[in-house]
Amino acid sequence: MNNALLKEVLRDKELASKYKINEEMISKAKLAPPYENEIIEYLAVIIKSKMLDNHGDVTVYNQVRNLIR
Amino acid sequence: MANIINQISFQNFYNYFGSFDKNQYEFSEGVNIVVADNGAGKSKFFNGFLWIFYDEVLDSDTKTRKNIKNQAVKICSDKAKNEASVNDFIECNVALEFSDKRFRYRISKGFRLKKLKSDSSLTESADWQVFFKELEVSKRDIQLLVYHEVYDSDEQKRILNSLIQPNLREYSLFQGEEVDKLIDFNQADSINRAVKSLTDINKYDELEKITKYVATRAEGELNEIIKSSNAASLNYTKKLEEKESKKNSLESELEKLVSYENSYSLYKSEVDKLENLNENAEGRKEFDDKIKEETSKLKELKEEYDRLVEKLNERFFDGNFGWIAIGCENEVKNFREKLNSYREIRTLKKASKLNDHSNHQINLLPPDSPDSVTLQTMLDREHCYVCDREAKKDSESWKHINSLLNRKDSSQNKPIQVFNNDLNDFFGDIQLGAQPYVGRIIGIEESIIRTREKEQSLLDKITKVKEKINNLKEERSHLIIGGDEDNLSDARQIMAQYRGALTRLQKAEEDIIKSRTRIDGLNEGIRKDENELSRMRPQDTPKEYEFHFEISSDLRDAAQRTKIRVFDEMILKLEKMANQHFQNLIKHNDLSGGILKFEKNPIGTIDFKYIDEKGNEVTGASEGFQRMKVLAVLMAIISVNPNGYLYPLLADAPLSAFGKGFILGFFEETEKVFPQSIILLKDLYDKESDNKLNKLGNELLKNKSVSSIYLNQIPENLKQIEVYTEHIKIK
Amino acid sequence: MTSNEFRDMILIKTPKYSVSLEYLFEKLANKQGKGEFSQFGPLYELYVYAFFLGLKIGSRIELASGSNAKKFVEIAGWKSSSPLIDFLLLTIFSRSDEIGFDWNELEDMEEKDLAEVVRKIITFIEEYAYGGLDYIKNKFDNGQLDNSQYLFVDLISEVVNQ
Repeated sequence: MNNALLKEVLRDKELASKYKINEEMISKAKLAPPYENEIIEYLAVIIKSKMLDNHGDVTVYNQVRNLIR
Repeated sequence: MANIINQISFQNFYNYFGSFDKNQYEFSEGVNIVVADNGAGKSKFFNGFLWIFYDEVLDSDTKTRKNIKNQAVKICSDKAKNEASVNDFIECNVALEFSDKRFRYRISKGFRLKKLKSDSSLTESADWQVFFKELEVSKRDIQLLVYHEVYDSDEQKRILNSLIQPNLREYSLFQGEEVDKLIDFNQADSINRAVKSLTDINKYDELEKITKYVATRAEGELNEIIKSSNAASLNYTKKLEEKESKKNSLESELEKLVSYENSYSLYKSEVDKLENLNENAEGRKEFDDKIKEETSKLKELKEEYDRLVEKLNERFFDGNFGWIAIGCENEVKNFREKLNSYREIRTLKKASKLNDHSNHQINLLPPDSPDSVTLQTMLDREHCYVCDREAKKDSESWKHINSLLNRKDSSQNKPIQVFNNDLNDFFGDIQLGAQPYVGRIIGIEESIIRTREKEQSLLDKITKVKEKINNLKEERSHLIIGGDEDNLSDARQIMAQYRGALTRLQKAEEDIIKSRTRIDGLNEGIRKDENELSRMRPQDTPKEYEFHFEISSDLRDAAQRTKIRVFDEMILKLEKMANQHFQNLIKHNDLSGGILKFEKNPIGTIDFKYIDEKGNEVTGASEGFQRMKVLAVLMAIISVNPNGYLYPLLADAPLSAFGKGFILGFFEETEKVFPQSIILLKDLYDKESDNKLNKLGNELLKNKSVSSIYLNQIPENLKQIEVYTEHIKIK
Repeated sequence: MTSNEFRDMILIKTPKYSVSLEYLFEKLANKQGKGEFSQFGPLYELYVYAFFLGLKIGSRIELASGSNAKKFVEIAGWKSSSPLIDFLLLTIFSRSDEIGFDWNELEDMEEKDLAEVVRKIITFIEEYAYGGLDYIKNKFDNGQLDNSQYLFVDLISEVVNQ
């Protein structure tokens, strides 16, 4: 279910074209590494943290913040 | 993989007397049927599920669900209670085994009942003592044989909830007519609720929220960094402020939008409600017009009838009918004969009298006497032509001529009175005057018959029109306005209210559109500002902040767009699937159904319409169709989930609630949507048949959608306290 | 005497009926109102009907002399614009034998003899009318009168077809 969530967002036209996400990447995308690119990782972390692990908003934010550092 | 119920068993549970292994039912994937006639444990079987999931049972006396705590004595088998001795404990339990892809679980709930008196009443709770047992859960690996108890209550809960998710239970477990309540099409929210429960659409909401939060914070951090570095130009700060103010406007505009959407919802349900009433009001007006027409027809007919009947007795004397002359043929004949003979005699009499008279008159004048004209001329000229000499006036000769003239006149002009009373005209007038009656005498009987027929035909017409009026009134009464049925002003009031509500609804819709436009404008403005800001950013801003800001904003926007896209796709899919299911459910029925339509309304929730090929809403469909509609939509909502529906369907379903034409369709389609269904029926039972199944039951026996059929029976002629249920597996 | 004079002699007469039958008229002949039974309009209509009824059943009843009698409007006023009067006369004169005169002899009679014939004619009318009224009265008193609009039609048809 959450995988589907991930893939659906990646399918967004604008996002896909800006970050160069293709069909293959979408089909391989999942909520665990390896990640094909940064945006997928970023999104996957958010989804996993919020939907799967049920963390609070602040924790979710900190996790993605750490990605960038 | 779906959860499949493998087994359910009962111990001393209602009519299920005895130990577990005596009351055990094995189930598999696909459609499982338990056939039980009235009183053979059908609803009690369903109570087993209610106990497991809700700690409730359906009390058959009050037809309401009651908590298990107070029902223990009632639940326990009467036979067991009867056979127990004082101080004995009776075990009453329900156990259910199910498996997912890895494990097989066993859940059991029960209590012990202690008999306090040797003559304990079967119903009096004071005569018994109840000891409720803890929920027992055990599990084993599918490959292995040994069960391990699960003691951790959280784990127990999780296992129990995994069988059928709590928020889905209302869609998986239903009894009889409750099918209608699964999705109430009259409640705008009902579909949305079902969609929210049965699909993961909510996740997109959540994702939207969290990405928004992340983006906002990322932005906040970025701005902090820029501010603290003092490198920000005045313009940058100004632009930032502009953007902030737009964002604030956006927030307040979004709030307004929510309130507009709420108003819209409110007005929409008002309109829906009034639409129902209004349709009825318009329909009733049609009937009213027809009734008025027929009533004035009735009045005319009645008046005609009254006229006919009142004037009936006038027909005795009316010259066009002359009924008074009925049976007077003899009189008429006699009169005619008498008249003829009277006239004959009269003529003879007259002739003889005249004869006498003319003989008397003949000797009076000489044969060559001049005529009166000549005589008169002689008198005028005072000259006699016979003697050829003067005859002066008043002379002897003149007087003689005069007297001749007089005698001639009188003898020629004087009427001979033959009779004292000349009655010829008297009788002639009678005959003439009576002719209208006389001429019609022959036709009187016929005329009376025709009058009666006319009267009867008018009566028949009156009866027909009265009947028609009654029928119209009855049909009209089915369209209830709610309140005073016969009040025309009610109807007008409702139409007025309806129009008012429509207007309000339209305004709300306009408000929403305007608000959205403003929101779009603000968003656009904010984007522009952001673009500018990104160009204006101080050169030494740490890249990671910018990057973070950018990526989080993009994700936020993408999440938003995705939510809308997925929702729209889902509606299309829902519609397609619902129609597929609907066609399959009704395919064995003779009538073709309509089309199910799902539409997104201005506030973003789903509207449902049931229309025919021409696009008109279908009203008045039969109960069977209504139920199939609900099931089709439910099945569609379930099917729209990419993973499908992973839970069993447990239904205590009287097929009569569906209608014969839908039963096969129901079974075939249920098998496709639900991995497993357990359906309790009485409609397949036939006492007289060999295998106790009726025709339909035997058809289902052969149908490959059905994987197992159980037959419950109660042995005949048992007293209540001896009753127990046995069952056999037919398939 | 002329034909017209003789006709007037008859039509000026006002036949009588027994006061004991007055209630029948109230029940069965009512110009204005509606009764429970079928109604005739003017009173004489019932009288004429009774006369013909009496003829059909051959029932002729003498009126008691004295003041027990009520009078109608003169015959001349009996639906004068319709064939009724003429048909009545037709009927009467067809029964001249029974009444006791000869048509041709009428023509030679003196006025006082004609008056006598007219008297016999009126008596003829009165007595048959009484016969008919009596028949109706019996049915009425025994509750045998039908409550339908066809009361009079049925009554006379019945009698005719016997």
